[in-house]
Amino acid sequence: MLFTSPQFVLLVTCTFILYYLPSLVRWQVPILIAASLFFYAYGQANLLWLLLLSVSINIASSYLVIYGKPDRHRLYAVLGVVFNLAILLFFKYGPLLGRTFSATDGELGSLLVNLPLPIGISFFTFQGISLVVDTYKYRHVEQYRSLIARNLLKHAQTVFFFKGFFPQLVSGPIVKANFFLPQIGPKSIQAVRWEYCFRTLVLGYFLKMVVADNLKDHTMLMTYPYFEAYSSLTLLVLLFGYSMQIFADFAGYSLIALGLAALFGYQFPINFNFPYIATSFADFWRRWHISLSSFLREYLYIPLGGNRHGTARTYANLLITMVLGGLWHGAAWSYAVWGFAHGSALALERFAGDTFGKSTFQRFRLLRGLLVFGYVTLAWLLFRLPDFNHVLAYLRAIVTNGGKPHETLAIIFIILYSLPVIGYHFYHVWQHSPTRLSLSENRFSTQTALIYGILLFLIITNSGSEGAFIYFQF
Amino acid sequence: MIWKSILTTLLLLTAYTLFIRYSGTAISRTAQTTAQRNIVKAEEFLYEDSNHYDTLIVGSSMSERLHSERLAPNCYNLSFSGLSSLDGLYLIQASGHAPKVLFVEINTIARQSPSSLDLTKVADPTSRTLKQWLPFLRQKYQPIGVVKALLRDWQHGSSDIVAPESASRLDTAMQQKMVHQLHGTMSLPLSVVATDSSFKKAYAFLNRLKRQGTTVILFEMPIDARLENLLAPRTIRTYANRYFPAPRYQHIVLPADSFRTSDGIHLLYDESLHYTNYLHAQYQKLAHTASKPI
Repeated sequence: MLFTSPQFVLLVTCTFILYYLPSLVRWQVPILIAASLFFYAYGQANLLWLLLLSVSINIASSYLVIYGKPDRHRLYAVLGVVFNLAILLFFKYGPLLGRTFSATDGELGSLLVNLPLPIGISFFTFQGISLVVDTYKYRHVEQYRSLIARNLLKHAQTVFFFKGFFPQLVSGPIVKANFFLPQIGPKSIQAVRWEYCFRTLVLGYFLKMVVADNLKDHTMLMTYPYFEAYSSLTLLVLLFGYSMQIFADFAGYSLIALGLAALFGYQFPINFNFPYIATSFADFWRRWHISLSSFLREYLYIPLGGNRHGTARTYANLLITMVLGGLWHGAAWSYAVWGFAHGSALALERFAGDTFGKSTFQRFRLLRGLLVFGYVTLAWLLFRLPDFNHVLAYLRAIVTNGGKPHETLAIIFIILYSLPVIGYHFYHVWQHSPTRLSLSENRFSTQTALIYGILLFLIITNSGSEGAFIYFQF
Repeated sequence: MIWKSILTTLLLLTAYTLFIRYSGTAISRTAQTTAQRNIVKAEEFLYEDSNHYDTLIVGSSMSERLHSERLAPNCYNLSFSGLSSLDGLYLIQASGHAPKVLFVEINTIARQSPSSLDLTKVADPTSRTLKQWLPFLRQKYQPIGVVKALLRDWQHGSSDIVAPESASRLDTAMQQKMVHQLHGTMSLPLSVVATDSSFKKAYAFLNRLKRQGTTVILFEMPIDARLENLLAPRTIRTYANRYFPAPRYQHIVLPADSFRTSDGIHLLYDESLHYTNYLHAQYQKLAHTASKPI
């Protein structure tokens, strides 16, 4: 079920009404669980069992880590993580392994290749791992222990809600257990932050429906072999447009998730912090898909040793983390290449900082920003064209197609629909500028209201054709 | 803040509705992409009473290149890029209006329409009612598209229909590559179940229209000579003859001439004119020789 569909709006409305009915206050969490089950089953009812299995594994392992025999706590935690990963590996990477290592017409190969990809498996698996690891890590901290109820049924309800809450179930943000569990409790409608909800929902839907969905119809031109007929300029603008599209799509989705959670009294971590103004690759990863990058840092990079074992090991850890992070996005080798490209950039940047001193590069902020943006945008090509040969063909066409005619209309529309993303980043910069600070609060508030009014008008009148969120496939 | 924003939106919507109402027919050809062109065409056909045409063409992007004004008087081309004749037939049924003559392209009848180009939502009763009362909800009136159309009309005049660049441009290397790719896919056998299912649907639509008095004419769009007799097109011809036998259904067979295409399946601009003239001549002949007037 898409966040942009009328069915979803109906589901949220009904859930919201039931959730805040005074007579149903003690059923608030079960109401959200029921709505989440319906939300998941609406799209993939045949794979609901997998979600239930994944949740059951996490209920059992997190419970046993606290209440099982003390000498087995580590074992339960390890088993919990292994089972979570096994499900992810089997369903998400089975087809890739089948294609790579087995004959696809054989029994095993055919089974692996035809495995269905459960929606949101990467997200709910990572949340499960976070629950098991956090529970193990903080098992002696009384404040955390108190979040794991002794009553198994109550604990099952908590875990189900944590993993299955519908705003983040299929595409994040990846919420850590120690962030979310303490929030679970009765909520009142008086505590809803209406203005925050309104702003995040309007901005989120605008980025998704007006920017990403319209750009999607133009970046369709990046299809092999059709793109070989376009000029170099057209190909570069298409790539730029795809970069804007993927940001608008995912940041839009994350904002909607934040707004929806807030409607029910819950808070999710911010997932995007104006990533395209990043002036270094490390800065970019502190701003893009923050919940994934902080998960990878906390649960992969640091356990691997982080930067504690010398320079060479740090570079290797960066590469391993980013390649695995790339593969997390999808079962294709091009995602690993994408991860490798980002890992190399991070390692190289660290090497340059270590060798020449960080202050050497501080002066060229704009240039560094452009370099990071250009590199990141070029790497998105691996997302748009998962076949590596097509990526090479695209790059070749950029170099050789200088004389071909431009797709003028497509270029104009892509630039036009990219402007809100550029404006969004500039607005953020402006908010911290002296001009903004000199503006009276009243005038600023009126301007903001006008802007959101215009965004709402454009959502109603100028949305693109309905399309699934790009990150749904991950 | 929330109320101020909502008020702003309401004011903008009211002003825009007035603009649409007073601009009327001056706003045309506003689509920004192929997908949107499909939806605008479907909405115009369904929501504007003036679109009750005597003659209709249903088909895919191949037939979209036909020149309806040359084929027959009061003719409307209800062909959609990326879709098939079935989508046009579905819309005709949803409109509740049976044309006098219906041209049905057979090439892509068995094509499974991608869900991203689903036109059934356009015919959904709730959406239809809403869009008839609130025109700003229609794709045709998307502000960006309207601005584009107004600028174009201001620059070129509203009556000049400019053919898409790709319709008259021939990139030989690309054409060879596309023909090669299509050769592979069109040499594969079609799924019997899916093809049967599509033809059954088409039969149900056309049978109903025939009972309402529509003359149905099936035709094939010419493609590159190297692809014309591959397994897939041959299978489609067999199915078309089996499900829609002559003389109950009229057929226009392909001429002996070969036609030049931009990518193996889409006719170049001049060729589409040439083929439209051929269809027109054949149609006149059928009308003349038929025992009952068409």
